[in-house]
Amino acid sequence: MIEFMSIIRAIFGLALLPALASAASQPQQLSAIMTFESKVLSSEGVEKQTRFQERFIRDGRNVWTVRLLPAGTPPHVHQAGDHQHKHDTNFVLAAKWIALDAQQKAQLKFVRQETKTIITPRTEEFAGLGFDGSWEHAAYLLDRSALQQMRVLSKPAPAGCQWYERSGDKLYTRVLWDQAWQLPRQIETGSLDGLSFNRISIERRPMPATMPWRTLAGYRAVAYEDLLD
Amino acid sequence: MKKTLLAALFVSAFAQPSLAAGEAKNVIFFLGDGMGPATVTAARIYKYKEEGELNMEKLDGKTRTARVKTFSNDAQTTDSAPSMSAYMTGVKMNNEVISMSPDTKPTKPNGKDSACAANNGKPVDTILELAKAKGKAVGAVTTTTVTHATPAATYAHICHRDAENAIAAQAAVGGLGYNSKLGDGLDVLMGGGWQFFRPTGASGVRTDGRDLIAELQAKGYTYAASGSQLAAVDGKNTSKLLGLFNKSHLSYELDRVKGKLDEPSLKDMTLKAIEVLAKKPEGFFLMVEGGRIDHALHGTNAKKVLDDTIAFDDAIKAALDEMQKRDPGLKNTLIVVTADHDHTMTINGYGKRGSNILGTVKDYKTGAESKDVNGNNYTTLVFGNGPNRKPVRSNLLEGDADKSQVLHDDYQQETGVRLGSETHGGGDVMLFATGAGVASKTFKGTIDNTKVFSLLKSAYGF
Ligand SMILES: [Zn+2]
Repeated sequence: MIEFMSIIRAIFGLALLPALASAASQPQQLSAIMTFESKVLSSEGVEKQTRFQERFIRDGRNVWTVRLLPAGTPPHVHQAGDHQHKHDTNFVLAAKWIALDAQQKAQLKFVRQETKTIITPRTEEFAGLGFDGSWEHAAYLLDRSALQQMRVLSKPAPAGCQWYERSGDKLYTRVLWDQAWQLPRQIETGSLDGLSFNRISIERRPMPATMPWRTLAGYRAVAYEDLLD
Repeated sequence: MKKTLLAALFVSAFAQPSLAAGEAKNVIFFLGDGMGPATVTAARIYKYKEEGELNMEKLDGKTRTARVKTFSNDAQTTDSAPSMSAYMTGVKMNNEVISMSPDTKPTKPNGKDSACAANNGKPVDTILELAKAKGKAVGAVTTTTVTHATPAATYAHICHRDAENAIAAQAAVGGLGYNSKLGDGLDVLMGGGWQFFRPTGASGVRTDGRDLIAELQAKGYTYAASGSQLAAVDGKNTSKLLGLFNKSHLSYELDRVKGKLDEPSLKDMTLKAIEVLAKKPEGFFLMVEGGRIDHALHGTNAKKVLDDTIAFDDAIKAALDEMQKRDPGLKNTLIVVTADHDHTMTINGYGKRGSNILGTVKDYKTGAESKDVNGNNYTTLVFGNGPNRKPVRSNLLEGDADKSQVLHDDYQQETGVRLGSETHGGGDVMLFATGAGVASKTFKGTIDNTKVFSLLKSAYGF
């Protein structure tokens, strides 16, 4: 979530608008894979590329994202001292579970399968952990009202989809929005000089038989504050 | 026998002309958790500009500043348990250990319950316990849980800092697991962490079913659970005060103020503690910790670091002013301000004087953005390690519209090595002291952290 949300925010942060009646919105059930890619050419002539994928599952009240590890991913390294008091506060590989509570407020939890723990931060800690608290951003990956401020492109798009663009003096953002899914299929951003490029591609997948947040029996609750030394 | 003692006294007095001889009736020990020299400098620039001074730096005309070596018994870079314990007991112990002998091995607890074996090391006396034994009033206040390593090192003894249920029990007067060296108990204990005082059935995490808050109230403690409840406590007519203002740690100062949370500031707690403790004719010992400076540093969030450091510095100012009223010239009051260890935050060059310490580096000649070899700007404050190391660096925006912009409340400074949580640093820390005549002048030069204990002890004349 940290990387993912900060990418989304970096794209839309320039003109964040109040979320569209976020409490009332009930997104449809959907399961997808998100692919994040970036490419940049440095002034020392080095081209750097990155790529990673995350699973995205949502229903009307929950959004679950988790990193997908390609075959051959080296085992992840626990920091020295993990087994003493220096607790692991690296949540990159934990599932991020954002759920609406009874007050229609989005609550963030990290779920660690390997230790069967659910880590709950306080609301004030959300932003520091990469979640801005917006259900709209979590469930739709962007602020849908921001699309209204963008230019509609005549670029060919799949049925039910539409390309939008916003461009400044140096940077551009393009979104391929799927009206039925209520989710982007593609978000592209980059510099107009072509030196840097980022893309998030979203492909639909079948729904899992059981929603992942319904498989947490026996998990232990841990307060995020208790992980701080 | 008498003759030998006198001779020994004379010789040692002669050899060390500035040896303190018990001028201090009261000691207030301020501990900024993780507040290394770069944090002090950055906080100074943040609030008072380059040419200004923090309140802690004004102590005794800046002449009583020492450097403290912080290594622990087993580690080049310490954690807060043995470093605070060294200040409080004069003994160097292993990382994770709280005020125990050097042979004590840390044993990871079961949840929050102690798993320390009975023969695993021995408790060593703390300066707070010694002060209590001399009839002084004693207390500890913090912005973390009151059972966290730093406050725990003043009043508890345990083989592992994470056993916070057992640490809480050591403060519960007369109950199972009580630290009898505390006599009739701590006179003041304030901070966060009520979960360690309540049973699991009452939203706490105690597995023994005890409600330590009720137990302490039965022993005559006044209990405050919020900032407004604390404000309503009449310190002049209170001799035992327990304040637990959050289930876990108190909020960061930035969040407390912005969210108008009903938690006391460190200054509020410090002043109330003095009001309660200073009534005792024999004097008092008070420990005040700015505990979340360390947490913000671990998250490489410099803005919260600096706001919590300023809140800590404001508590020092309030205590100085209050004690000047009660003890003009601080003749009998020693005030010490230090940190338990450093962090890996550092200050990049070559910024223009007057530029925002939280911002990007502006060339001191041209005022233009300084750039890295790839043409991207960078912030003045960065960390040796921590969570924010991007696969590819990019240009930074000096705004606060969202978390990716460097002036945002939740911006995380960039780091050299990527770790989930930033580590402590192994560098020396600063110590400032004032008051109690010659006593504060004994803190000078580069000293070991264990030496601080013996200087406190001789300041009291113990
Ligand atoms: Zn720490």
